[in-house]
Amino acid sequence: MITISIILLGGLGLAFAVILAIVSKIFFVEEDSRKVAVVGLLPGANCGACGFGGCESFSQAIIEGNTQVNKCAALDLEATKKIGIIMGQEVNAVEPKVAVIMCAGGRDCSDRFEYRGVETCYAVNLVFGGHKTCSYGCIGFGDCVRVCPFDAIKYVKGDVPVIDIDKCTGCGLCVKVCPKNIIKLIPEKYSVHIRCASFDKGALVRQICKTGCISCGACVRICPVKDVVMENNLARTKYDKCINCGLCMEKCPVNTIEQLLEPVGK
Amino acid sequence: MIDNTMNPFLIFISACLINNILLIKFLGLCSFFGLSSSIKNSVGMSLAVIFVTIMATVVSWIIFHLVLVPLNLVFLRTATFILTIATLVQIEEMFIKKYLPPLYKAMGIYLPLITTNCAILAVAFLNIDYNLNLLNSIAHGFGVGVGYTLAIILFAGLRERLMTAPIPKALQGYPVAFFLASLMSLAFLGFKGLFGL
Repeated sequence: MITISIILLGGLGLAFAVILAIVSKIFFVEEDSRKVAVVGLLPGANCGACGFGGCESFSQAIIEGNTQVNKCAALDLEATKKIGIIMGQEVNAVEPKVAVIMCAGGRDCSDRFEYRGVETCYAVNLVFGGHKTCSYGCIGFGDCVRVCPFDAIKYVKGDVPVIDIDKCTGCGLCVKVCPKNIIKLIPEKYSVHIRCASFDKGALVRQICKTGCISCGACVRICPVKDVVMENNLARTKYDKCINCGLCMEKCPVNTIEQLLEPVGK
Repeated sequence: MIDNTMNPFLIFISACLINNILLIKFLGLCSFFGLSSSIKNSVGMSLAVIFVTIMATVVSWIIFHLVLVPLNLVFLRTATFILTIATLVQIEEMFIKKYLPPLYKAMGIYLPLITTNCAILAVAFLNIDYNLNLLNSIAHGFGVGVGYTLAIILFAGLRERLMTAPIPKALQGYPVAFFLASLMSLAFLGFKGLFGL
């Protein structure tokens, strides 16, 4: 019985394999070799940030000249140049960007009620804007972690997620998904960030969050290139002339300002 | 219930309307929701399903009755049917890629998914359960394919209208589509009793 079964299934498999091999020769379709090459160079995460269905349809559009290579935010400079060579045209690379979460609160930011419900930031945000006392800050349920196609965001529930800047490609999916809009795409060359998004007055921030910006203005005064401004009770880097000197970071009394050089906790 | 004493036309009607594979038997629902966002896509998918069901019916009937039954290996039917259907879908995919590139593009990922579409495997099994002969099996397979087409095109047409309807945010997209599908299923229950079936 077993022998016959094995022979039968094996035989059927072999017969079908032969048929498929023959049919694939008959119905062979020659694909554009440029497309195959371009698909190989693209990240292959199908994140959709370019506006196409996936890397394959994006490469098809590149070949047909319907789009720009630099629509792909996840492409590094080298691959961009290679695609340019394949297409025989000069391609301007996009300035590489990484996502930065403009909040460092997490456990340092107090809760105003206990939330027991669907564990996504989106759902929590629907309940009076979230359970955090600070209505601007990170909720910490990790919607950005789940949406990231490059596995670049890690978190422990309740903490602010940590973005691995080596893996982050700047596709911007987390930016779109964050219900608090506190994730920003920042050019990769800037590493010092004021990680707070609260427009509350300094005294209030001091009560509810240990690392929130208390709008003391020390960073604005110390900045040698005048790249930090104080707007609506919140210090903000303009990311224009910043030289990553880190003086503001040393001066900040509540450690809101951080230098994110490499992934923390790796 | 379908059996071998019925004529092929009745079997066809029964498979198409009264025992509609999508709305009464609830099989093959993944493509029912995945490909019903526009009528154009659903037409392409339906054609592919009709083709594959008929082919799968014929080949699986031959394999079952001429190979598995004489060899007393009926228990192998699941494995052999899956193998058969997978091969058929592969061939069909190559064919469409060669001769109908726009259709190939439109169907994208769903074409390989026919491989694991339970509607098609169900046809092969039901033919055996109902103990149908080859002609009746083909009628049954064709009926299931047409029933699939009918349901998915009606559904796609309704979903196209849903695009412009004011739907609460929590129900947008698939949730409201599920409501719609259940209402359509209730409507199809009305076919019960047609031709005394």
